[in-house]
Amino acid sequence: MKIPIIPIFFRSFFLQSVWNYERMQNVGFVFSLIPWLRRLYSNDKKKLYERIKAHYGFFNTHPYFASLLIGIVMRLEEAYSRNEVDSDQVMRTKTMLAGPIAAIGDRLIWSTWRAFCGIFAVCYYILHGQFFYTSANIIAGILLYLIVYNFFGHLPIRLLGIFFGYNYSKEVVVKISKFQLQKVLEVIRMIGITILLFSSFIYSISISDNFMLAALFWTNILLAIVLSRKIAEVVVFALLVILNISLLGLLQ
Amino acid sequence: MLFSVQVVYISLIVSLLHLDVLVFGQFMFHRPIIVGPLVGILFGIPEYGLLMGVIFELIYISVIPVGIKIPPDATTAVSFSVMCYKFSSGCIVIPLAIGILAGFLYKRLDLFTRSLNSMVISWVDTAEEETIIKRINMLIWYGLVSTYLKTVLFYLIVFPVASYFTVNLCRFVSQYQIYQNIVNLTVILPSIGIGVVLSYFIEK
Repeated sequence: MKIPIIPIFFRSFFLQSVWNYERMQNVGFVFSLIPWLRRLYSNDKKKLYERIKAHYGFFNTHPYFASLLIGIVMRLEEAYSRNEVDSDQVMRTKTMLAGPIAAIGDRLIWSTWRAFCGIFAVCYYILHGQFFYTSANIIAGILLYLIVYNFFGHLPIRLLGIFFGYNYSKEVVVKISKFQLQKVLEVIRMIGITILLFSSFIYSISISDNFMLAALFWTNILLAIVLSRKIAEVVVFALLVILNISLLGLLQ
Repeated sequence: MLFSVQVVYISLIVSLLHLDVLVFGQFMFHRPIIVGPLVGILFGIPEYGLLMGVIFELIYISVIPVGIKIPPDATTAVSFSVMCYKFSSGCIVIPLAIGILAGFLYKRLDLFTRSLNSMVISWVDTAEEETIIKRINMLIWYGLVSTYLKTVLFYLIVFPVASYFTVNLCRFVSQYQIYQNIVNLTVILPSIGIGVVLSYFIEK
């Protein structure tokens, strides 16, 4: 059966529209699945109603990788419509896979890809001097960030996830594990650290005419590394701002 | 000029970007590195917007929204910091602190609306065969419109109060002659964020 890919892909952007504590992403998940269920049960309104109700229960996973689960559920729903599996099997698979897929998404996207793109954008600005900061150059930086993040990460995952989930169904986690994601994450992380240290070095040279400021710059980095292991980031930031104001006052 | 047409249209635009946090897409339009410079450009202070964007982006890189864990809102924090800076006569720390407080306040509002959503979704449970799809579509619209209106109202109500405090607190700070220290501080502020990110990556 032909997959209505465009409507499902578009609807997947609304996955968290009515995020709630009781069933989390349930409304968005059913909303994404409706074009497929309509196709499967075009002649059976009662069955369509039943399946929508069945999928209206608790659902929570990573918003980008939810496409994988949508694809998997589409395949299972197709099998269910032919009486090859029962409803319990569909629901069990959906619930069982949501956790591991969310873990992969959190680690790959939130912890690594988004952080890497953020560093990339920050360094784009830090590496240039203050004369660079015109509105046009700032907008160029914003566009660069959005293009890299979305076209090389976000959108392909959303789109290909539907096909991948549909084609591999329950085998999807095994297939993903073959990509050696751990090594990919390590490489991205190392590149991120290198870019950040290099940019910090260049930046500290640019302010080295005031030795005190350059020294304070590196002291801050070291203190933030040590403190943020113990305390929340916002608290570390507030503490160091107060410390810096006091030090700057004493050293003047 | 605590409340102007400029504030109204910036609130409307930022609220639109705010939809990206949760209810539509997650294209990262809401990240501080995007919102900070954008509000800066709209307010005629692009350099400060960029500085705030860089600082908040670095601090928030390691903050991950997983399940029910909701961090203080970075989009609100950065946009309030930039908007309040306009009224701070060059003082950087007060708008920054007010931005962080606004982020915490928005988080409280967000928690409330998410609880409200738990009640709203039961509307579909009582739907009949003919109305169930229509009700789901309407819930999606409800999510979009309510989030947008909530954010616009938050900005329009809280911002005048925030800017009032900014004006008065900055006047108080400048009396104590730490203004020059604060100017120097802008040069080294990104280092704190860099340290936070390095710690996060090393830990991983």
